[in-house]
Amino acid sequence: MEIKVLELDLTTYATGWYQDPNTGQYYYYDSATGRWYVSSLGVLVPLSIPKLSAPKVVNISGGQTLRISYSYKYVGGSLTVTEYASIGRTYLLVYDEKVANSKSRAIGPATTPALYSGTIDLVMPASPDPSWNDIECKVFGGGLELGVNYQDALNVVGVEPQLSEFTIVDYNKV
Amino acid sequence: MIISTSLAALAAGEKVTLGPGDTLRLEVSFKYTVAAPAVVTLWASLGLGIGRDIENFLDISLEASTLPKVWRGTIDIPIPTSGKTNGTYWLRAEIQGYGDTQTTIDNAVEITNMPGGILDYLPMLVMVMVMSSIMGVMQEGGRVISE
Repeated sequence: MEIKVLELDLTTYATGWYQDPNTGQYYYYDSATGRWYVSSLGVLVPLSIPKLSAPKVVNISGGQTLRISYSYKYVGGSLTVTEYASIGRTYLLVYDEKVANSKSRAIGPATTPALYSGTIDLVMPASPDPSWNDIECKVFGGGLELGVNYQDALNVVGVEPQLSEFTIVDYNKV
Repeated sequence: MIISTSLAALAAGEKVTLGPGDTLRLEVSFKYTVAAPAVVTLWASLGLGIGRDIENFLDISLEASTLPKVWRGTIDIPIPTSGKTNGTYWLRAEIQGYGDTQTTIDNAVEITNMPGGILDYLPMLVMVMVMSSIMGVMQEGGRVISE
């Protein structure tokens, strides 16, 4: 049986273009943000984080705080990563973050999967837009990025009433 | 006296018949969320064509609620004692400015026994005026012949 080995290069990359030797695809790395991008029609698009349907919907309004709990496992050498969470909206398949917060954490070294968990609080501004329904949480550092994006995870309650299920129940002469 | 009408019967074509001075009471419900107390205006109306012919409105105060909350209440449409046309009206309830909060039931209300306005008598008035003119000419012509 053939054993496939996956090696992750934890080298710290410099800002610039890199080519995948297997596919020939070029990628751009921004060391300031620790994010990888791919060029699409001349526009740099962040490498996709999977967009999933949210497992639940949280109602939230301006000034309230959303607490995102997360966990991940890590194997490798010593590394400082950024744990990052945001609230945003998805427009034309591109996630546009509106509120974000982050933490740094030193992880590793670990030869077996070590579990890390934490929380990040996001404070909604006074008048959030009702379209800010999506959340994203990720961890990145040393050229690695792992995360998930939940679509329609929030119902943003603004100062303008949101109405639904409007019905004439009955009507009578009185 | 309250005349009860089921929506199922109305869907099958039954109408509520109203006359001058009667009142139609609608029961309306909707869900809402809002971050701070707010006021919305509920409109109820009857119409024959595109526009609203008979209408009433009600300001509704909504409490702040981040979880969907049900509002349920009534609004009356008084039928005027004159100045409206007999016929079959649609019934509409709506909160203007809030997307799909508009519900219309076609052929819901029959208005009868509405006294006619002056326009209803217009053809008769025209005929009387024409007859008067003809009689005047004939009388004047008779005098000419007699001279």
